[in-house]
Amino acid sequence: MLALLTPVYRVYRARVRPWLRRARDFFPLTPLGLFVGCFGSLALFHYGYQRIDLFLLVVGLVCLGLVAVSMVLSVAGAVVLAYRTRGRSSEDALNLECGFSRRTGFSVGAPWFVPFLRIGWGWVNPHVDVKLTRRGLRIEEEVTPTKRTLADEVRRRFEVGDTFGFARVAFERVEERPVRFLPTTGALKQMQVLRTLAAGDAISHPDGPAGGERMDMRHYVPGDPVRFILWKVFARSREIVIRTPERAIGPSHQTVAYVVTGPADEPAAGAARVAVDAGALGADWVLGADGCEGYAEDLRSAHEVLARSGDAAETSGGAGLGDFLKTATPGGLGRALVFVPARPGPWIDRVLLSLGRTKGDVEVVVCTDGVDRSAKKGGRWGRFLYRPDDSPDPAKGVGPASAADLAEVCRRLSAGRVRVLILDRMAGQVYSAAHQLASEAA
Amino acid sequence: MTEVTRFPDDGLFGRFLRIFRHPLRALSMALATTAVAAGVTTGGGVVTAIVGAVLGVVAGELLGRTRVRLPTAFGAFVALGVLGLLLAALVTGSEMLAGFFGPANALGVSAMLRWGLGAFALVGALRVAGARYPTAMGLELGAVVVSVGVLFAAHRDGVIARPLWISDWAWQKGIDPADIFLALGATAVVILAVLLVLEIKSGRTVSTLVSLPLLALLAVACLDVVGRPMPQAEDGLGLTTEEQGEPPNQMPEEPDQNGPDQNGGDGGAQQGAQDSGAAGGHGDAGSDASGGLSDSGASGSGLDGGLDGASQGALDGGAGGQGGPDGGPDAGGGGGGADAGGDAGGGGGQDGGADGGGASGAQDSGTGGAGAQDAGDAGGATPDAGGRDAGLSPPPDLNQQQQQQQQQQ
Repeated sequence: MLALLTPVYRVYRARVRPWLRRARDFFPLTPLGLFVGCFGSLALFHYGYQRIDLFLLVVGLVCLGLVAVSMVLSVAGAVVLAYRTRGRSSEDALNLECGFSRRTGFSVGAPWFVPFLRIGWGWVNPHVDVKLTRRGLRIEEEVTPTKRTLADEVRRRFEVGDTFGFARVAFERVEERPVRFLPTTGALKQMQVLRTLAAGDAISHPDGPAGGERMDMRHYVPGDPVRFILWKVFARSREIVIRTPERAIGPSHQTVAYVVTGPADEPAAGAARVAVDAGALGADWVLGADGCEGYAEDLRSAHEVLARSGDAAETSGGAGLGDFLKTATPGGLGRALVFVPARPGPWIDRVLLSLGRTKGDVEVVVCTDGVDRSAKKGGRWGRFLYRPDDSPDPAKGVGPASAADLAEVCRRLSAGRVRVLILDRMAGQVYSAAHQLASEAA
Repeated sequence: MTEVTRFPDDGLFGRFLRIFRHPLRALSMALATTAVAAGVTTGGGVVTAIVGAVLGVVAGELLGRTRVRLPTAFGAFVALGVLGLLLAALVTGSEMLAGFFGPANALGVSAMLRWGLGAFALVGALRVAGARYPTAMGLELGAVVVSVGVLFAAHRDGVIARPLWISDWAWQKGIDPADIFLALGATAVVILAVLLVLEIKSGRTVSTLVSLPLLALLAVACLDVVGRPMPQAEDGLGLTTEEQGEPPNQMPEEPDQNGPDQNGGDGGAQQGAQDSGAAGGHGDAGSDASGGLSDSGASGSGLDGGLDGASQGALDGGAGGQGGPDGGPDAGGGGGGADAGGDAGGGGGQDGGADGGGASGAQDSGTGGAGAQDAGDAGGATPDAGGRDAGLSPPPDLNQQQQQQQQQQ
């Protein structure tokens, strides 16, 4: 029976439910309004007029009057608002960092002269937290991005209703406007996740660049580091000479970084942004992310890659890592940093599969916005008795990952023989996975 | 799809006002509980029910803000209510406990347990649902309205003298109890609407709170303009049916010397003929159901105030040529007391009763010369009586009075 109903439910969810939602948007009465309308009708016509209950007569009359007034005002207000908000566009790009609010400049007139009418709206896409403030006779918009994204338009959902909640009419409007939301860096200012930038595997060659071992010598010139001065030579010859890198060739030492998307992947993107901005990846780096076909080699394109990765499906996390490692490092993998979320998901298997085929120095950075050690899974009874957590405050990131989730991610990644680090974006700290596992065990 | 719509902030004063929604809700629930419990249980039971209702509001609100699932909270409240019933039954059913408390105290304790825990469970369950889902607030507020409505249910079907504690007070103050009921209804619905407004963030709390009482007043004013519902008389005697009865008896051809109505025979009874002859057009006074005349004025402008003229309306109580304004809201149906409430009667005519007057009404109209006003509804035994009356030319003074009354109407 359940197997029979599952496809039906899928069809309902995919096709019927969107239509029902749209129909609900245009149907002016809310369930509360419908209830009050029925109650008022019963009170007015049955008890008020037939039974001559004067108390319920007035109650029913006022209830029906309020519902009718609310309905009329809502429909009329929606028509006026839809007319006033049509066809808006702006060339002013909206470049924001997640977690930080800013006024967008969008506003509508407040219907102060119409009683009982309330107007509100929100963003359907991109994901932001909207705050509306009344300034004079207008309602202004202030947004706080909650998820990184790169978009060309803003889709708003307007809602016109009454102050009692009896009626509501909703509609959507699209504003042409470039939007780029970058992940927040939190408390991260620097990130020391790379063990070394020097591999030491270059071979001396007269045609190579001066990037090998410091075997050559030359005279000191002002500006050279003092620590490279050969003091013994100076003691013998009274000439100041320093060590310089010999000309050599070797495999490419490009550092590659990749952001794996998934549930609560904002800390991973934020950490990758810090690594790029702070130069923690060295001089030569490549950045890729799920949901992006190409990769970035400079700061500007790196920001675009990070912003665009926010639109990747959470279920496809890690799917592009294998191809990225092949195409971005044709000369062989030097060092690789993979930023992953702290919540387990199907991405773990894909990442382990891709890294298993790679030969090189790979570090996986598990990124989180703190660790909630108090949140323990309540098991079957816990799920039965309690609701899941509400969405966290956007200014505080995606919320702390539970210690159990973090431990599971670390355990499964460590089993894949990769070096695992834990990065707390809000605290700006980096721990080793062994540290986390030890504290979890304690 | 998560709800993305936001509304403007209420401002400092609006946020301050929103604080009062909890005490207001607790007060409403306490009043509703009092309305249900008073007269049904003991004094201790009423007090315990009030306390339980207030505590239920607090518990439901706090529980609604936690992560506890709604069915779980419902289950807890239902279990608590069942526990109260079981404990109450145990106190009165167990010889040991009843002996320990004593019979009177056992009944009191039982009532307190039953009503206290019952009110707590019911109110708490409604509140936790309302805190989670705005639609469920309708149930909460509907429960309040129904509870208070039950308290005033005795006045239904036009018995505005009930409940006595309201009508006595109103009569003493010179207020129509019907106005009291209307005012109570308006107040109740305004309070409940205020609760809804304070619960919903709209950014327009203050302006709504100002406009809401005005809307309620407007509704009551509209009710006065349209007219309040009037009770329909019972048809026990077959006097209010529109069926045409047997044809009237043949009237004597010689004119009736006792009255000014030369044509006489409009189907009136003998009693009416005598009245018309004596007073030259008496106002009809619907008599009380008990048979007593409620307003048998001796002057010509006596108020026809009969309350329920179901069967004794044939007795004419009004004197003088002008019926005056018929004040009895329940007047109506039967017999000659057909001058229904609200209608200003001109002379003996202008019977506003929907079912028409009986015999005496028709006769009065004939004597007063205003029988034309009765053409539509003064059926009685002869629906065409008014038509016949209309053939007469009324005296000049009455004609002027009718014109004035029509202008006033």
